[in-house]
Amino acid sequence: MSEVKEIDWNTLAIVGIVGGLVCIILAVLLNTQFNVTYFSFLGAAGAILATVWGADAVRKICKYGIGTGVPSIGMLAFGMGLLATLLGLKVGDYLVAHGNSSYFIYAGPIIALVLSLIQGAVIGYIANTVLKMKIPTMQVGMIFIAGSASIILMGFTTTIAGAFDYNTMITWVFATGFIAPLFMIGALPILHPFNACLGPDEDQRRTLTLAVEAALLSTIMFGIMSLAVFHMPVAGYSIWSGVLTIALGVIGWAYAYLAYFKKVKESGVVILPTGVLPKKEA
Amino acid sequence: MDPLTLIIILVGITLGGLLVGVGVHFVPVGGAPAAMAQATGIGTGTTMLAFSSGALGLISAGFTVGDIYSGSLSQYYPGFKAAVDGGTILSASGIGNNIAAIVLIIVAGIVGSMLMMVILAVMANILYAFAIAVPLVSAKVKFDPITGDRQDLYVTRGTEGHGTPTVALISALIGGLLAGAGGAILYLSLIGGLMQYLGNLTIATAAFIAIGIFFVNSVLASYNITGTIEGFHDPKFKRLPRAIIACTIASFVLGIWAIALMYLSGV
Repeated sequence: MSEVKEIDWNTLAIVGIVGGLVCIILAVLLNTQFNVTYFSFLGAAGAILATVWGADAVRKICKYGIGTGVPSIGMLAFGMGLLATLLGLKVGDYLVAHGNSSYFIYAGPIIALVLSLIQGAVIGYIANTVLKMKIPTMQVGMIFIAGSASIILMGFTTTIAGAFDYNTMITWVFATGFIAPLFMIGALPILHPFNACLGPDEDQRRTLTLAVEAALLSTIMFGIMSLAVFHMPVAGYSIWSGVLTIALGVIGWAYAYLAYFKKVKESGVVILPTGVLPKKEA
Repeated sequence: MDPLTLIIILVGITLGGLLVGVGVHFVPVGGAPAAMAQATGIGTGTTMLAFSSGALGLISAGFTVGDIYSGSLSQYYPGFKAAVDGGTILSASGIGNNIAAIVLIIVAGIVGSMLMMVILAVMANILYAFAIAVPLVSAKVKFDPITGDRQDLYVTRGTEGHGTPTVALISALIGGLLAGAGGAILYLSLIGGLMQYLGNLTIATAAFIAIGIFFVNSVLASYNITGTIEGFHDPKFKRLPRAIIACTIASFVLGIWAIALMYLSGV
């Protein structure tokens, strides 16, 4: 096996935070500037960058064994992120409604991310000190997964509905019931990769390739859901935006799947079949 | 919104989250070994178990809210709809006037949750007894504290008990009671706070915020018991005070976000 240096988790955090927020904000900015919905797929791109960040944090925490199985941590991440994200988006909404420039709507995701990070810090502190889990990576890891859950929620909301403001999220994501799959298959790409790849031979690059693959699979699903929203008779809404998301998702997924398959083959070993032991010594 | 109402909602969310966290400690969670009949308890992880009972509690509480709000029960609780629409249901006077409706909703949540617990435990027991052919025993105690039956003789060597014996089943019911009450209180607090701003959109929003808070508390509680527990007779149950502190702090912080959301919606 080739010894490749692991990517530092702070580097991945910068990629997740900056890349994620830039993609989400760019998607909505371009959508509003051109009065279209074609740029909604950029929201999914932001969510994928955040997924890589979150999946690496899950990897670092769960390496120590948390006793409850890896999936619980993904659910915890989304539980923490959901309310903080809603509040952050509401603050952005509030700033616009109270006489500020309409560009303040883009402050929403940043505030949502900050609130999620605070929530994650509180939960991480509780887990390490009150519950005495004594996992050295728990404190920072919890902050990271809460933040990545927040960006994933906003990114896929942008994919589904073309915007991330509070009213869009409530009307098109919560009230339509799309929040249920968003909660589950949004969390899956951050919890599944380590759950599938764990073991002594676990390799960061392979795990994160699987994270990208799973996130692209989710993107296809959210693209299909966006078809229900984008056929509404609202200015700029076009059903082709959903189709574009699905098409890009399928192409990206096929590429990521092959890349993951290559990684699996690289780390596999040749097995020599020897047959059953003979009944009698010859 | 009235500050007193916001404080009541904050207390409601903290109490609801705390009840969920305590309830998880009573539920016999076996994890993957229990699914292979090698440990006592219901064969799945804490998170999914707490979520299934909590979700059914939320659904039954939600149905009851719908029934009292605009369905067949609305004639018996005439002030409820106006109080929910006006956001006064959780003010001091609103609770006094609608106490019967609030109790009914909490009881509905408890019934749904306990029903799910007993279905999960008894249906799995039928499979354990008649399909896998193992006796239902606990490995943590020598005698069942409730029936007094001998346990240790029937535990297969190399395993930690099988199925859900009587004491664990009773424990599961207590867990369902607490978690169901907690889920219903969470849902009611969020409905009461958000209905005046969001109208019909509140139902899904409140349900999913409640599920989010539910997940945080059930996962923290399951970290406390490191994944498996048999019920109140298990030695791990003594760790409960830690979870009470942890879940109170976590739900309090989540409650602050929730009331901030309600306050910002109002101004």
